[in-house]
Amino acid sequence: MMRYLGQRALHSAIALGALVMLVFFLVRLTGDPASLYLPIDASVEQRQAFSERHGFDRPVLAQFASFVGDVLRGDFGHSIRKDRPALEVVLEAFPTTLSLAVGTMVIAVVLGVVVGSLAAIRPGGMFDRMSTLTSLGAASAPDFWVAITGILLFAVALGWLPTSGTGGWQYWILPLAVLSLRPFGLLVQVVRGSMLSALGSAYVKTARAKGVGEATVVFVHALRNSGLAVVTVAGDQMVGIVNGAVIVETVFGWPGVGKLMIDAVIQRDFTLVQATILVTATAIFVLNVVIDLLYVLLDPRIRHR
Amino acid sequence: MSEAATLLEVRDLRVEFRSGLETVHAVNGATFDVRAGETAAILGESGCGKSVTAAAIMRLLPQPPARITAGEIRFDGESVLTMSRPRWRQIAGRRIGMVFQDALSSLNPVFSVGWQIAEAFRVHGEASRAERRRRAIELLDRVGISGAATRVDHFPHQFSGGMRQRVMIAMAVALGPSLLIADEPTTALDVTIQAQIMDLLASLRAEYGMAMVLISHDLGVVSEVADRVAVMYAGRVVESGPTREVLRRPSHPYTLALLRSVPGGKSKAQKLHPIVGSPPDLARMPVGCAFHPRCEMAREICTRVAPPCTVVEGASGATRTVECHFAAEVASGRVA
Amino acid sequence: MSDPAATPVAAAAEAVQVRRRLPLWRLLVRDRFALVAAFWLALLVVCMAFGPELLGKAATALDLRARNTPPGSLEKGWLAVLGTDALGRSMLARLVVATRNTMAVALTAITLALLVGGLLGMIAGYVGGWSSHLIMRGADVLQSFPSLLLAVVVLYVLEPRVSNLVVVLAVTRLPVYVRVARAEVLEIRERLFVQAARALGGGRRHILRRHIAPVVAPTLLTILTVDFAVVMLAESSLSFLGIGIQPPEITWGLMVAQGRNHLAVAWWLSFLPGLAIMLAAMSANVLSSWLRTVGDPSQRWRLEAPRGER
Repeated sequence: MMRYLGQRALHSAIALGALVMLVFFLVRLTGDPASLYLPIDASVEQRQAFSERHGFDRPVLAQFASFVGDVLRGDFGHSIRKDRPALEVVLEAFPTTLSLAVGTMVIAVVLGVVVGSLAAIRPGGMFDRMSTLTSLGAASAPDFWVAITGILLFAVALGWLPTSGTGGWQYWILPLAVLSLRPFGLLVQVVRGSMLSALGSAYVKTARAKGVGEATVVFVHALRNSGLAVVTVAGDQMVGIVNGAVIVETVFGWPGVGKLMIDAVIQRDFTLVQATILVTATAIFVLNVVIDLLYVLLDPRIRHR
Repeated sequence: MSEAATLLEVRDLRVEFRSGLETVHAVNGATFDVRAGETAAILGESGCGKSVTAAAIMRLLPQPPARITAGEIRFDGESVLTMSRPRWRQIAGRRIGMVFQDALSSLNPVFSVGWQIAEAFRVHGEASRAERRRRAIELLDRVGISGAATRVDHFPHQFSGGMRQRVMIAMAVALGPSLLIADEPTTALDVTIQAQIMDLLASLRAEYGMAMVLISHDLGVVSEVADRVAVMYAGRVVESGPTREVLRRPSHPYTLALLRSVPGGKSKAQKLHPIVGSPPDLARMPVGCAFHPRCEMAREICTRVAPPCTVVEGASGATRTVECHFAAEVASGRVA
Repeated sequence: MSDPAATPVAAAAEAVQVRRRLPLWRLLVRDRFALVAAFWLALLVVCMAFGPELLGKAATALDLRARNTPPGSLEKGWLAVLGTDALGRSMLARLVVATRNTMAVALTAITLALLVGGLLGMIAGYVGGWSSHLIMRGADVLQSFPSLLLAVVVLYVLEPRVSNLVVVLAVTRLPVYVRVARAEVLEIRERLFVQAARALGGGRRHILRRHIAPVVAPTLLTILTVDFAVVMLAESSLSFLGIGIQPPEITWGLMVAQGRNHLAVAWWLSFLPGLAIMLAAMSANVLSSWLRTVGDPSQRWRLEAPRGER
């Protein structure tokens, strides 16, 4: 088990390390920050001074080496745009994204598991057909479109909810609803599928032959076996949101890491891009370890490997 | 033994599976009895409907696609197919236990074997939590799992095939049922382990005074443990009676053919006679006797008229039933 | 000791061996949702093929007297049945014309991902060793890469041309195909017919192409239908954010973004193209879930069963 977990963690770490490296080099291909931050008529000397100050004049590999050294010492660099330590800026935005991600996943998992299991009890029945259509619709709806339509309807036309921004609980409703739509749709599909195969399995026959009631058969015997599928899909979706719920953050004006990262790329604020990607990569690494632990917890076969 | 009360009655059971193009007639009027305390075997090739019959008795047929179109199943005088669900749940597991063919897929992979055995007690409201665990360990020990006190917390994948089948059996007999249905309990196992499992089933049967329905395609196993046997072909019981009678003097050509197809059976050092042809397409049953296309002694009448169920008097006075127009001829050995 | 004709089979499989199967199109007709979805996608393919030629002029024709006509009336001609935009251009014509870009980008991207990812996955599964490690770790990296970030960076480095967009979208979907193809191959290569082909002296390339690829293909094609929806949504998001397809080219996602500025006065400018995206994505999802049911022997009967008995 420890070997399994260790190997998974190692793979995850390698992937994320490669990612950070890739971003470091890719972002430097987007252009010279000097042309964005200095006036158009800036002299060659001014440009040179700017590049020297931020270290952009050195060879890329040398820049990378000192970046790694700095990070190991806990120094994530200085944001050009915000004129503040980059890490500070990222850590300010991160809780917003994290709380969106957690809220979304709680809603999507609870609803997805309940609806998906109920649909699997009577495949082809009324509830199944309705929930299949709803979940496919939820998984197919473009989030930006749902977001602006939602604002138009609930904020502008009906005036029930605020259009955008952060604040009390009313501000959470639309962003969470929009974000949970796709994970919910996918989870209903996945839960229904794995519940169907679990309910047709031999061990469910055994349970029924023992006299176990239908509710226990569905929600204990079958659902427990669908746990892995739920964790896989939910984990995948959560990684996506931690990486930045750019659309929702943009449309609803939420200051999260997704928007921060995209803006930083566009503004060629290299240190901020690097700091953001490092923080999210670390978060995703932790998330991956948690997911693997859940696998181990849910499936004794992995535990004893 | 023939004095014992009838525990399970299956009368004219018919089960079909429907799809868009065709209807598969899996069971076509199966009839047999099981008396309290006896071991009754249902013998037949795969696809003859024996496992579907077992599933029907346990109300385990997925409906749809399966449909029970006719017939009756009575357990201890009560109609299984029409009783309420709560009533059935008092019987399933408590009064009828079932052992399945493939123990690996029949045990839930994510729960410990102890949990799964204890669940049998729990659903029938028996014993406290600690007591259930103690009894689970006791049962594991009884079915021959060494170190039961630690094994109780292990998961199915940590057991070997034979051990898993022992766990299945422990679970099935946990509440001391009066009937145990064993659906091909040894098919998935090595030959040496098969014998051990059969011995275990036989000793448990004696200990608990259970009746046992053994579903098998294995003549050897059936001849060793069954008091009575019902031979199934194409969803019907074509011959049934005391095992020794049936196997010594078969009166249905199919039973005879089965015996001739295995070594040490009726073939007496001659070469084996595999049964020619294959079992009938259950979606397109032949008219008349279902066995006639493969029968060596089929005559004109067999292709038109389904043979009636006839009672044949055996040598020892015990009776058996046969569905063949020429049962007497087969029994007297006047055949090729 | 045992009956020679008997082989151990599970109880259910014993009886539910359906050999005569309904042809695919009849199964499609039996599932109303899937049928509607198939029709819708077929219609979109027609729009993709002929739309710009048929309605290209109408989509760009300005009519300043008919600006922001709401949908649902034929008064201003049938082209205005879905309303007009702020310049009086027909929404219907614009939607039909935008079908080509929207669909073509998604279709090209997934086909590319399928071919490259499938091939890499099959190599990783069949050859194994260090090449497998390399391919799989590469897939890990791609999978952990925030796809939007990748798109933003690449489309900034290179220019936001359609071909670049297609490559970015294909790359983000690659890992799925690599993984699935590898997993399938790992299982298939132990099966008898592959072993037999190997024993007969078949070369690696021959076995991969003639024996393994045909078995892996259906699974990948099922994923392809889901991915069509995923990629179309991703392209729409990028176009919505302004880093996808650039005007004067149009896609549905871009139309939603453009309509956003007129939301308060002309809701249909954003709503209709968004609806078009959703319906197309949903059709692909419905069809893919139907395909999965057809491909699953334990579920297929649900489609084959007579009506009213499912």
